[in-house]
Amino acid sequence: MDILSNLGEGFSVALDPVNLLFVLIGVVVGTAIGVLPGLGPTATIALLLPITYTMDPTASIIMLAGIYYGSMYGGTITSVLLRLPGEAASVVTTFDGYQMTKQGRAGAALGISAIGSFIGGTVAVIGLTFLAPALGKIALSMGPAGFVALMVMGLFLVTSLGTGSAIKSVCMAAVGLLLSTVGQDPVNGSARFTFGQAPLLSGLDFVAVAMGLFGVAELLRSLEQTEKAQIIKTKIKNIWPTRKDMKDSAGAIGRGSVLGFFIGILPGGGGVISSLASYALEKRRAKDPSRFGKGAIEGVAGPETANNASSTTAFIPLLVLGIPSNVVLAMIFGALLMHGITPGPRLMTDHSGLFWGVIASMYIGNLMLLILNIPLVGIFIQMLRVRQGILVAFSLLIVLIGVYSINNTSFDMWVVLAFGVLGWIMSKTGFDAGPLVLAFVLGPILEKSFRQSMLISGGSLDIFVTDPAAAIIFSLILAGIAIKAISGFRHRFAGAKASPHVPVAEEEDPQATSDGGDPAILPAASSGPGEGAPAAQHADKQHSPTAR
Amino acid sequence: MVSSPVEAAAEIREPERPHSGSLRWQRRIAPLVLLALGLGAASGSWQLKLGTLHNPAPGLWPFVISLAIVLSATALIVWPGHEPVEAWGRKSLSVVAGIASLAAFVVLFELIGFFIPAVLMLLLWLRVFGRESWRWTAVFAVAGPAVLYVIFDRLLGVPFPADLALDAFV
Amino acid sequence: MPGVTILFTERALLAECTLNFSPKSSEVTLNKTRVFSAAVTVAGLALTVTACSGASKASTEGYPTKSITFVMPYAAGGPSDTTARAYGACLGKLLGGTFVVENLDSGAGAVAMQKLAGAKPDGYTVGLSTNGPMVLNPMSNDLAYSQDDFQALGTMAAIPTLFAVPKDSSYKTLQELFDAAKANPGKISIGVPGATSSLATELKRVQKESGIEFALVPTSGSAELITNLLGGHIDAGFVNDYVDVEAQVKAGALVPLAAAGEARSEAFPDAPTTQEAGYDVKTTSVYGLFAPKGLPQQVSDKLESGVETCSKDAEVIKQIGDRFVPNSFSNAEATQQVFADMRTRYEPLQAE
Repeated sequence: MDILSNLGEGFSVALDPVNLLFVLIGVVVGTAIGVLPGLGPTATIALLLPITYTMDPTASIIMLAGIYYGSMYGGTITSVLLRLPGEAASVVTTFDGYQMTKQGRAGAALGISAIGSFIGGTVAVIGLTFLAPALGKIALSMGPAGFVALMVMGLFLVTSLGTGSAIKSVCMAAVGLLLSTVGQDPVNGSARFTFGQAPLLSGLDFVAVAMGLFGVAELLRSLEQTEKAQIIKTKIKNIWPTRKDMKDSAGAIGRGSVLGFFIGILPGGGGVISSLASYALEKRRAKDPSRFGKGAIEGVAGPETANNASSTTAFIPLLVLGIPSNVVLAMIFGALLMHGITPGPRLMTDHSGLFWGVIASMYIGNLMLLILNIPLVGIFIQMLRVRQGILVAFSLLIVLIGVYSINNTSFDMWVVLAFGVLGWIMSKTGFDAGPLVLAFVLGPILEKSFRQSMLISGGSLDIFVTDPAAAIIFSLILAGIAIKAISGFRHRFAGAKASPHVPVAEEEDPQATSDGGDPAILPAASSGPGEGAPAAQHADKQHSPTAR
Repeated sequence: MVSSPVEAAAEIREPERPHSGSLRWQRRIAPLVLLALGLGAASGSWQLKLGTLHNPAPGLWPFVISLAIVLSATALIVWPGHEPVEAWGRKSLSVVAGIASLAAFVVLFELIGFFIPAVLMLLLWLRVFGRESWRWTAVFAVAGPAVLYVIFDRLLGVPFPADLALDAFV
Repeated sequence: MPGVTILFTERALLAECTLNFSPKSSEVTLNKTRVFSAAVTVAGLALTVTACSGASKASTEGYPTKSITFVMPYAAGGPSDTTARAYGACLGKLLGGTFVVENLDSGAGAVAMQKLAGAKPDGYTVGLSTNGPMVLNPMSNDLAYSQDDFQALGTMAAIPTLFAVPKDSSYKTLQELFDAAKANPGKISIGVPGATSSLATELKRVQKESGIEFALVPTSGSAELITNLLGGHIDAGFVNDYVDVEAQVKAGALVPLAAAGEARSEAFPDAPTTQEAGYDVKTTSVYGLFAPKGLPQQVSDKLESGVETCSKDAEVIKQIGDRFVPNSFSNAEATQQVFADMRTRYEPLQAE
């Protein structure tokens, strides 16, 4: 086995104590940076580039790669605990992750994310080890037409996400698409909807938009909440996912690994689409899809797994073809250049020690992250014990300076603030931010690819049939619609007879019934009967179907 | 204690049913705003030139999106839906105050740097909104910005605007 | 041993705070203690803060007396960023100040240029710029700055451009490609890195003047362009002759048709220039150093000669790449002229 001996060589490189240390530094720094809102891996790697210049090339790439996938773990933490997604792929995690936090199950959410991320990451590295060259070709088969198809699929998935009405989701997705057109037109560069503001020429910054709509909106809402609802005390004893959680998530993790692995290869947008696809798939498969968006653990496990798997396979185009598929990988590309190594098709043969060393380090890095996360989850859960007022004040301050640091302009602070207000109003009027934010990510790629396709084909729509990748994805979309239509039809049939069921029959967990001290955190704003604590205390007995 | 997610979810958005006609009309405010947005964007895209589907100009894509907004907003005006939404209350005013304070922070940040506005913002949020004791408020409001300044400006090299308070010392 | 480590930590941290390259990297051999101390350095990043505070104290008399802001209209990681950082470090060492690189890539570089234009002309704010932010952006957008607000201080680096096709392309020469486009107007697709890049603008000019009509396909950058070329989704690419393309050519995946500059590419001496092939297509991404107009003569002289010295510095050349740093220095006046020429060349195009 050629690959195995190469991998063995890789491990001998990666297990070198110095390199091991760099893996550790990478994943620790990555996790830490992922937790600070706004400070993604891009900023961190930019900062460390000068230092890596003095280091051994293999060690530096090992470290930078560790920062990249480590930040994926870190980003989960803020998404789950504070509803602050640091990058597009973790937007999906906020849907159910944050709800789990509100229900006092943050530990389970973070724990399952760590486990899922480990499995997804490891599956992806195994795939990377054995299939990299073949998969590189798949990445190349995706031209503009293929991306049009992929983005259309993404938009279908987006509109199926919301917890509210489908029309509202469609409307919000359209608003997201509209916002994404702000800036220079992708084909002839003319300014659209910039209102004379120079910073808008390159469009609204995703991180500012997402953090505003999710995080800042949520923090602002906390001002409205009643005193009782504000007290966040979570039973910390039970920080790990229960056996039932594991059982519920096993399938989601497995499917997420596969989805993330394959979709992650596609340059640009692969990460978001894979976590979206995983979420949609789990929601579709669930016996009771209405649980999703309300704290379904599969809704955290699947997308997180997919996200991590795809962040690993995103290395394939870089390592095999020399094509960086996102900004972070472009920086790693830059780091290699500074060492006089040009990533390209010959990297694998010309620098096999580096190539296999980096791959082997990913096995180790993922394992380290899992081990690191066992104590870390416990520590981060403690964060919820900090009094709400302090948590809110500091989160807001860090978010503001975090978004400032993305482009070093205070313009983005206004953006995050404006979107915070918008997100607050949306939550008051029953609109979901999810479809808006995700459509915002997909929109520009869709438009650009569509217009590129039209230029290439000379204005003929045939390209979407003749291009193999596009044809395959479009037929998948059609199949999906057909299945949904059929199952929807059958559901309506069967649904008439089914009795109102209890969606989440939480296993009798001793923690849950004992000690009525802390109501799950329910920032229920308002009047109405059954508000706040008393209702929550009797929650286990009531078991009424969701009030609707 | 952990309540079952079902109940919890039900309480997260306290249901407020549209009992009366006026509430039903309130539900149409947001779609009306969206309709206006859609119409505005449609006319804006029209001015950008549409081109054709086969040879799209800059305005085509935003125009298609604007139509989607107009259509979906119209649908929402006709059928405002019944899902529970949160009520506006007196507490909502404190959110407005919070927003104003953050806007003030950004303005001051541009003018006099990070430290002083951050201290002021924390004083307000910790003491007034967070109801911390004066002692803790003072400690956090000074120590917090100092630590953040060190992390972001010094360690991470984020170029904050010139700082009125700190530039004299560091 | 611990002493050594801490020392190293502080020095690297200093480099960190000021965003300089570590000055002595050339002598760093890959021995393990060194690597280990670098490791500790990075770990120390998260813990130590010392050494940073002293970074901005520069030499006491004459320019510069405090740290200098080096504005960058592009994000970190690309060749322009490498150029800014390499020169920043070298100029800092040479003039005895610290050049702090600030990446302001929002607004397609307009924000950085606006900041530079609005800064006091005292030499404490300088910036890198190229055709896009300096010439093309203010032409096509309503911005608060124009080319006239800046003065050039010299050329730091220049990235040539070339036409390339996939390895199994039926076009073997530039002429075949252009002839095909002439015969099938609008059918031959050529990728360009960015709708407003100087490459796209140059091709538009060629189209207008020669009447040949391509299907110009703007991509979001070189990476996407190369992917599309390798996948055969576009017929040809007009792309920066940078190392990413070079690697593909060396691996046999792409074939260069012609170098679109004054001279043949140092990497592909066999490919003719566009001029030799009989076409007037040429553009080069010139990375100039700029300051707001009205710099004191003393300061501008100091910076200009600094750029010249640094353009011969071995470390700078190694970091940016030998063939991207001009062998003969193009001084302030010459650089100013290059950008002025660009303006006259493209102004008629933008007027429409």
